[in-house]
Amino acid sequence: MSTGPFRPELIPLPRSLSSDGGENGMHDEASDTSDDDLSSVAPSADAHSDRGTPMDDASSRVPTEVGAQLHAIPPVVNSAQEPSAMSLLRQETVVRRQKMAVDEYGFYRDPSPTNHSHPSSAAIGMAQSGKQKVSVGSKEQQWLDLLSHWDKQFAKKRSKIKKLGRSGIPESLRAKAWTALAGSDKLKEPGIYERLLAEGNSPLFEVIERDISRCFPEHSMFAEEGGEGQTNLRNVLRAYAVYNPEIGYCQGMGMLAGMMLMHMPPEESFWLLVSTLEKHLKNFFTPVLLQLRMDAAVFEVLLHKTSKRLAVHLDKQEVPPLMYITQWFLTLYTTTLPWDTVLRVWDMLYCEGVKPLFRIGLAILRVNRDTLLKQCPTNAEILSLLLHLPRDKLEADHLVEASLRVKIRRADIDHLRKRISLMEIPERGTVSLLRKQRSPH
Amino acid sequence: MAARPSARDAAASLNNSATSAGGDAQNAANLKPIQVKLVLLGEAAVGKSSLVLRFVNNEFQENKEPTIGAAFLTQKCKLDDKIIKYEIWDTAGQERFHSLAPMYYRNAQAAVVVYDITKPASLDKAKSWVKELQRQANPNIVIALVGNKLDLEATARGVPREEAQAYATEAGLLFSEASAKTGDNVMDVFTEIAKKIPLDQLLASRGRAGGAASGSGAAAGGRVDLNAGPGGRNAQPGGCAC
Repeated sequence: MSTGPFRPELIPLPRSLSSDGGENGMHDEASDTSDDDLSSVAPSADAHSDRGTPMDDASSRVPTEVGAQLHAIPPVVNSAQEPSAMSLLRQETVVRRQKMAVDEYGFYRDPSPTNHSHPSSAAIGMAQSGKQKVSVGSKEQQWLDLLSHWDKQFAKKRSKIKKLGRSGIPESLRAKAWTALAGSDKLKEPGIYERLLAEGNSPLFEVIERDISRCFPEHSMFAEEGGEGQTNLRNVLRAYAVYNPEIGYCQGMGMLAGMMLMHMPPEESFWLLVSTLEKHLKNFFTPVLLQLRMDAAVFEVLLHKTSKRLAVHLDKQEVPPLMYITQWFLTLYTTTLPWDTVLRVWDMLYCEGVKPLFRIGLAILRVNRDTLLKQCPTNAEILSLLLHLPRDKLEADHLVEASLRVKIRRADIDHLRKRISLMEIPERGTVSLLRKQRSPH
Repeated sequence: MAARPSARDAAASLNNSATSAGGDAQNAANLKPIQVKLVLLGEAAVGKSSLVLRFVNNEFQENKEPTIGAAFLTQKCKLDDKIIKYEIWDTAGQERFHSLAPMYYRNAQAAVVVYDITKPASLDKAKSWVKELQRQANPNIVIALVGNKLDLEATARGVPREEAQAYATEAGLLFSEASAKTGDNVMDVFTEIAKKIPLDQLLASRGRAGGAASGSGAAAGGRVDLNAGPGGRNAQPGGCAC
């Protein structure tokens, strides 16, 4: 292969245009075959006179129309020939961020909902229940009461806190509540954060650097190359890498720190990251991702318990939970769910601990159960679905309710974690392994 | 690529098929796609996801979010008279996710090992991936070494083309430099892989497997596990990992 124009001997076939967007099981196999004209694709190299010129800061942070020209490889149809199907079905998509409105969470809102990574429930047409709206004021009051006498209230009112957490913490009090619930305000020691930043150094800084501009690039806080948001993110991640060299930095932590920075100043974010990774995600990010592997095994057992048919189907098609919960758990669903659903999951995490992470994961499978069983015969369809979830079933109230119907107990998780920690963690087949363990004959 | 004598021929044959439009389309419609499992490996931020996005959606995103775990995409293509369905595992690049990689390359028929032509260290990492694949993956796996970010060649090239090319030749890999940003050579990578994979063999074994496993969704696409060696999990055609 040499640099030069496309030689499109291999012709990508059109994707299914059905509403679920992706591969559609086996039904559409090759039915959409087109006999594209070979000459219909424009040579790309020649079309970009500025190839090789790195984009300047401004253009790389805001791919504008100029950016569009830079990136586009317009499938030019040779008018003398038959129109090319490829030009219709492989339209160039360019992410445009400029001139876009910012949604209530600070994400640039793309007018076309399919291109928006984090549509709020409202954006996908799900009205919030009126009941919830009415109660925001009183909820706020309840949280204010709790937070004002936190030390006394916290132990006594666990179940009230749990219940309140499930209906969502009011945005105005979220930062305060997360901080209090995680105990990060107690952890915080004055001066430490600054000292870590001033004196610390780590070979991981370079690894962190690669991800700084890639963390929430669609959020107004982090979009600007070298801007304050990116600087804060870099600082929080660097401080953590120095503070806890055993964990250091792992991809995914950027999303967590990013979420925290959307709610509170850098120093508070740092301490919340510290307490979250210690309290709720302990050992998730170790060099071998120890707890994640264990929890994937726990998840497999819980899925088997709560939805056996689905568990059997996924296992038969060789889709172990590790293939999908890695993304879900390590980013605390920030790359998976609509943003207002993500916030609700985080609320529950801080109010209840790790159980909601499992419950939400199991609920995601449950709400997609019929599709998975009926329209996903092989692992290609299953994974296309699970790693690119259709947004319509993930609306906050809906998914939280579905998760509460998943009957698992914290004790189940603790018990399974303990048993699994004693064995070599399997990628799949945990259920039968545990069974064998119980009855050695 | 080391040798591509058939490039022009293939183009010609495709041209031919394009002129006999109706019949060919019908023919192709009757064909079941040949499933090819492909895995992308390489250091973080070399542009693995961007290459896939360019190939699958003809799209480019500046500052693509890092892949956590792995992403999965599929793309159907036509090569000569065959339909290929690429099932693409786009893996996370950070060292910490390394231990998850075997789960993705275990049954792969093809691998694209990516480095960044502006970062010499990323070629070292690519070489270690190649070694691991040659040691542990399916012995027939087709590996392509791809130097991405060719659009930065004029200002920031850090890896001479000849050096990478020489290594690829020595290690028996397909080789290409490409740019996910401009699209240069991206299709070529997947074309060359498709040409090198023993598609006929895959088709033939599918024919054999087809009847026995028709009840299983797994066999519907005629996926064949080239990795059905002693360590392979799937002795039965119906249980193959697709």
